[in-house]
Formats: sequence, structure tokens, C-alpha cells
Amino acid sequence: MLVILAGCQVQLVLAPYTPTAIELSYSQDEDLTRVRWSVSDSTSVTFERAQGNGWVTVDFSAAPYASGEYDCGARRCFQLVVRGRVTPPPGGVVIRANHSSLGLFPGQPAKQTSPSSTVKLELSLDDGNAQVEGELDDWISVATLQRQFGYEFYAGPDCSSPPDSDQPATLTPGTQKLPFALATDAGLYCGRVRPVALDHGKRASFTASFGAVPDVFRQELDYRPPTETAPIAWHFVSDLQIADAGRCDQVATMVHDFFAGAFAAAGSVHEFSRVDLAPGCVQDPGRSLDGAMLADEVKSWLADNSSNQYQRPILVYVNNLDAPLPQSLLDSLSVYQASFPDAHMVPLDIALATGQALTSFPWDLQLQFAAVEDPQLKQSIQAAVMASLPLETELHHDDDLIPLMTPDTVAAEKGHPWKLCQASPAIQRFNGPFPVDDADLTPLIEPVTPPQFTVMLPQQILVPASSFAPDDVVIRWEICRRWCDHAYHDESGALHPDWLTTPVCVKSTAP
Amino acid sequence: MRALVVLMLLSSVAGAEDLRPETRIQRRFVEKKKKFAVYAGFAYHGRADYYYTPGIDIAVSYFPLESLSIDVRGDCFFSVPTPELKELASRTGYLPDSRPSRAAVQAGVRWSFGYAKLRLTSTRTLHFEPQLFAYLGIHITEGSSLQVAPLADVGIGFLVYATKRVQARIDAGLTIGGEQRTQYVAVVGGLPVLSVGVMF
Repeated sequence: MLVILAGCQVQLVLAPYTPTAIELSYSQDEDLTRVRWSVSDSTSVTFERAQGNGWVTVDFSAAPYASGEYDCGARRCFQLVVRGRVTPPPGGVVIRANHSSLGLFPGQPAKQTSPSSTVKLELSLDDGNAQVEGELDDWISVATLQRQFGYEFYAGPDCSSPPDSDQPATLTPGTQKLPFALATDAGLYCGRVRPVALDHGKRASFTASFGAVPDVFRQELDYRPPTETAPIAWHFVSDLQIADAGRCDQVATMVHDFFAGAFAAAGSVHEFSRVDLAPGCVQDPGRSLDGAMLADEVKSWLADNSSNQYQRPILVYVNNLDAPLPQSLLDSLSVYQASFPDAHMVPLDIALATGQALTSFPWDLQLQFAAVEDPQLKQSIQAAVMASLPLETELHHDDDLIPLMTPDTVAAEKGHPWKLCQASPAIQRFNGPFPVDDADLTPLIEPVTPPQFTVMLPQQILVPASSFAPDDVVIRWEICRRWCDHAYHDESGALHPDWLTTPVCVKSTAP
Repeated sequence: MRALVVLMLLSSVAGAEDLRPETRIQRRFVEKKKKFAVYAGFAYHGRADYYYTPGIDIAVSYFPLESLSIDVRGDCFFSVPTPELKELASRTGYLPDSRPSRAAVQAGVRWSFGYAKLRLTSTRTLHFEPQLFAYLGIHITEGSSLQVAPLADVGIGFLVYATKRVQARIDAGLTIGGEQRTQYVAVVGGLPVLSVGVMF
């Protein structure tokens, strides 16, 4: 028989069936002991617990609360909940494993701990007071071993007298939303949870108080000041010097048509009767136009045909001669300009001329005269007109009082406070004609002095359409109906103690 | 006179027996060349690993030569912990890091370096061959998972003929193999086998 030579290579290692990391936690709140341990391998293993001077087989199904095996990574973890306080025997071994073939494996000594918290309950209502957001932290629940809790809500603020029954549904640890139907004038409530005991034994109660969030709703106003487009009302004044009579008529007609076409493309057009300062294209050194009469004609027509607040009649002066304008003509042009003293009606004087004719009078728009056959002449006229016309005006004054709410809202929400949530650009609040002090965060709605506002906007009067940018004022506010002095969460989730004294609005997705 | 005649007769019989040869050359009891044999029996793998490891052994042999066979054998072990292991575990919660044997599959050769017979009774003679053997294969151990490691087995055995077809094999083997314990180690052990076979 051969001699067995091996043996010295065997080392002793902690058995995979040996319970380790044994933890004993006792809660006085519930008079429960939570025993947790783990093994590397639970195959063919049962567990026994020290009890008195002996050992009893661990029966997870007989435990009052969630007990059994749970997933904890590579090891196999177990929890046993026992009523009362479990104290370790003198040897310190509370749990041992019993392997079907290898026998008993005593667990390592247990570590006794006290849970930092047992059952922690936090309740709060959502923005609509229709759901309770419950945050339940449970010292027994772990991984798949979850305790079920019965719950009930009741009127506060005194939480010491909960009802006997629970809601039919149960809740589990974690965050959850529960339906809520209570509504009291005080808006103060209590919530009570009790774990569901599998052995139908004694169970502890845990309560938390919570309040209704302010009953608010939001409204929004997108205010865009009205605008108007000035009509294109124009005079054509011809002052040409051309020896050839046939050519004279041709040039005058073509230039006129260039302007007429460009104006027609820019918008609504009215042309007054044409003025010819040089009949037969022969300029008289003493020529002039009747500026007062032309201005009256313009005013009269605009008064009859346009409701615009702001007007800009156009005078187109055409001269092909590089020579200073005679004093008589300059004087008459000045009379024409002076005939419009009102800032709401400012003439637009356009000159198509050359040389000294352009520089001898302060024209609003100067265009270089060229041969009518030159295609650039027509193009330059079209480009100048398109860049300058039509003219837009935003009808807004910074001291205009603009209603914030509809009359129906004002009537329906009489006496309720309202709060400005957002205004872009900033506004000044008014109650009727009276400005609201900035320190007054939540003025009341009164139909006799309804909420209004003023807003400062950049002036845009007779601005070419190509550079006109209408303003847009966005205002959001909320009106509180009940529980306005209660705490609430804002858009960022921050908690505020009192809606009435806090400038920010309630967390809301609407609008 | 009658007594003298009897004495002479006895002496003549004794002289006739002296004429028989002292040594006879006999044919082998069984010839194995180019034959197969199948064996089944019991084995025990002792490794001082805190386990009793009995098992069953099955082997197939082919004899290309009269004195040489090629073998394929398999062992299935049924390890059980020793009382020492249970005592150790129940007192400390610790276990040896050795892994219980589960099976072995090996191939090798056996060489008969002699042939002998032993007279048991006046009518029964035992024929047997002493053999040397060497095997190489794998060893399968249990644990949290099955593990396969190399295993070599060398030793001496006796091939005993019960009849012309039925044989018994008694082996005493010495094994050496690898095993992943706390560290990877070489493990030496003994592997005695007692098996019965049929040749055809």
C-alpha cells in the first residue's frame, strides 16, 4: 500500500457556509430585532438561531416582517426579523449554518448596532393638492425584502388621534404618489403608516403632518403694442432742363414711372397731381412751387383717407441740371416743410438730381440723376424706395395703462391676492390708476381698481419696415384662492414657507 | 524372503520416479496478444484532504503485445467529509481548502514484467502477472464549481487469472496532480484499485 504523501498543503479557510457579517439591530419603536448575515454559498444550507440555551431552526416564513434571502452582490445575504430584543449567548454566536452533508458551521460573533432611524415618513401635497408625495424610509426593507405599510390621511393639525382603519391600498418604502381627497378650511393634515405584520401581531404607528400648498392658478399675457403702416402719398415735382422738347417729355415720363413703380411695390400708394416747375424743360430762374398749397392738399387727403396717427407724405423733386437752386425755389420748399409743424406728420423729401442741386437743400433722401436709358437709374430708385418704405409705427406710450387681466377674471377673483411671476421686459404694476409699491408682493384684485401695468419700450415711429422690430411683452402671474400663507415649492424645487411673503411663484407646468 | 522381495519392489518404484524431469516448459494459461479486456471495480483515492474518497473504476485494455497493454480508465469518486472535517467546521466555521475528488479520466500503459503461478490446492493453481503501469489524464474536483486539473498515476499491480477469460486486477497507484486551493498546489495521493475483468 502506498503511503499518502499529501496533507501538508492543506490550509484552513473560512467555510463558504459560515455565516459572517452578522448584525443585530434592535428598535425600541417597534420592539423588533433585525438580524442580518451573509454566506458565500447557501447550497444545501439551513440556519439555526440561538434561543435560550439551545438552537432553533430559522423559519423565515414565520417572521413578523420581511425576512429571507436577498440579493447583495456576490454573497448570499439573509435577514430575519424577530419580535423583542435578541441578545447574543455567551459565546457570541447567534446564527449558525447547518449543511446537509458537512454539518454545522458556527457563525462569527454578532455585531450589535442601533438603527440611526427606523421608519421615517415625510408627506407633502403636490401643486394641485390632489396627490400626496410620500417619502418612506424603512429600516427593515432591503433589496427585494420590502415591508408593506397601511396608511391613512386625516385632518390635522393634531395628529394624536388617528382613525382605526387604513386605506385598502398599501405603500412600500421609497417615494410614491398617493391620491388625496381631503380638503379642509385650515388645509392642515396628518398621515399615519403602519407596517403590515405577517403574523398579525402588534405593529407600531408612525405619523407625519403636512399642509395644503397654496391654491393658485397661473395666467399669462402676451402683450404686443398695436402698429400702423403709413400710406405712401406723394407728389412728383419735375424741374428738368432739356433743349429737345420730345426728349423732355420722354425723360419726365420715364422718371415718374420709375418712382411710381417703386412706390407701388412698397405698399398702398396715392399720388397727388404732378407739379412741373419747368414746362417744356426750360427752367425759369424765378421758378417756385406753392408749398403751402401742396401741404394743404396732403393734409386734406390724409385727414380724409387715413386714420393713422403718424404720416409721412413724400415729395419727389427731379432736376437734371448741375446748378444751384434758385432762391425762390428754396424758399418755396422751405414753406412746404414748415407747413408740417406737427410731429405726427413729417414730410419725406426725395431729390433725384445732380451736383449743386443736391447740396443746396437739406433733402431727406438724395439720388443721383442719370440718363433714363441707364439701367442703374431705375435700380437705384427701386433700391432706395425699398429700403425706406413703407414706414411702420408702434403705437405705444410708456405711460399707457394696459389691463393685465380680463374683466371676467377680475370679477371672478375679487379679493384674491395675485403675484407677478415673470415680466419681460419689466413692468410697473398698477391697481387702477395707482402704482403698486414694489414691496407689496401680492396685491389684492379689486374690480374698482383692476390690475394694470405700464411698460417702457423703445420708440419706433415711422421706421422703415426693413428695420422695424415689433415689441413683445410677456407677463405671467398667479392668483391665490386658498391657503395663501402655506409653504410651497417653487420652479427649482426650493421650499418657501409662505406664498404671500415670498416673491417667487409656485412650481407649476402651466402655462 | 518375502520381506526382501517387498523391499526390492519398493526400490524399483522409487527408481522410476527419479527419471521424471525437474523442470517443465508449459504454454501460458491465457494468451492476451491482440485481445481486449474490460474491467470494473472499486477504487479509493486517498489524498489526506479531510475527505474519504471511495469510487468505482472502469477500464478498457488492449493488448498489442503479450506483455503490454494500452489502457483507458475512468473513476467516479464519492467523497464524504471525514469526522475530523466536521469537527473542525462545527468548532471553528473553517474548512480545509482542499476540494473533494469527483472523477478522473486517464489513459496509459501497463507492462507485465513476469508471469507466475501459485499452487493453491492439489487441483487448483493461481496464474498471475506482476505489472507496472503509468497513466496520465485529468482529475475533476468539486467545490463552489467543478474544477479540472492534470493527474498522473504510476504504480504496481497484479493481473490474476481466475479463468481463461475472467481476470482480476489489483493495483496500487501513486498519484500526483494539480489543484487550485488557496494557492495552486501539487497534491500527492494513493489510488488503490481492485477490479474484475473479462477478456475477449
